[in-house]
Amino acid sequence: MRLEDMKHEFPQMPDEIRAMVEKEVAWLCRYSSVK
Amino acid sequence: MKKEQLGQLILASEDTMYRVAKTLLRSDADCADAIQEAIVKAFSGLYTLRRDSYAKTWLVRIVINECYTIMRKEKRVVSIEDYVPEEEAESARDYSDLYEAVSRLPKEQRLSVALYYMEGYSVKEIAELMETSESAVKSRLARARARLKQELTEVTV
Repeated sequence: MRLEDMKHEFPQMPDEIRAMVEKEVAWLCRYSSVK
Repeated sequence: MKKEQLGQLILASEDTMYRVAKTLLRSDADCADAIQEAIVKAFSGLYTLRRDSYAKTWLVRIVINECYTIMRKEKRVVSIEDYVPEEEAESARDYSDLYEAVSRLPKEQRLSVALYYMEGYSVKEIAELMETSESAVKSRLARARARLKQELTEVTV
């Protein structure tokens, strides 16, 4: 095992968090006052 | 950078954001809180981003700050090795030996290891992200490698 391979050994992002990120980004892109 | 570009950057960086959070925080609920708060702060603080080329590093820095905020709030600044998981489901998860070994490193070492080996940042970039010197990062990486080598005898460093 090499440390360079550790990305594959780490926990993967759970689907619930991925869905939250996508929802949050969509919301902020649409409604935030930032241009 | 426009907010739509920031949105694209966040979506393209979501795995990095999670790995960085998961390096510092054990609980997925805490990781989700840190990432969510980081996203909100990135949008509201977009005007502070000086160069688009620095955007991902800037975003990761925000995630790290949010993780530290959660650790302070929950008085977990005492490194993860002293942390007893509160959620049974979390403690029951079957993590790899490498993740468990990295989790037992002091927080500065494990963050340096994660940023260097998983995210591909240079020593110089990590020093900027962690607001420390390059020699401190090199030292943390060396100590982390030595400790991981001791714990995981099959690791090639």
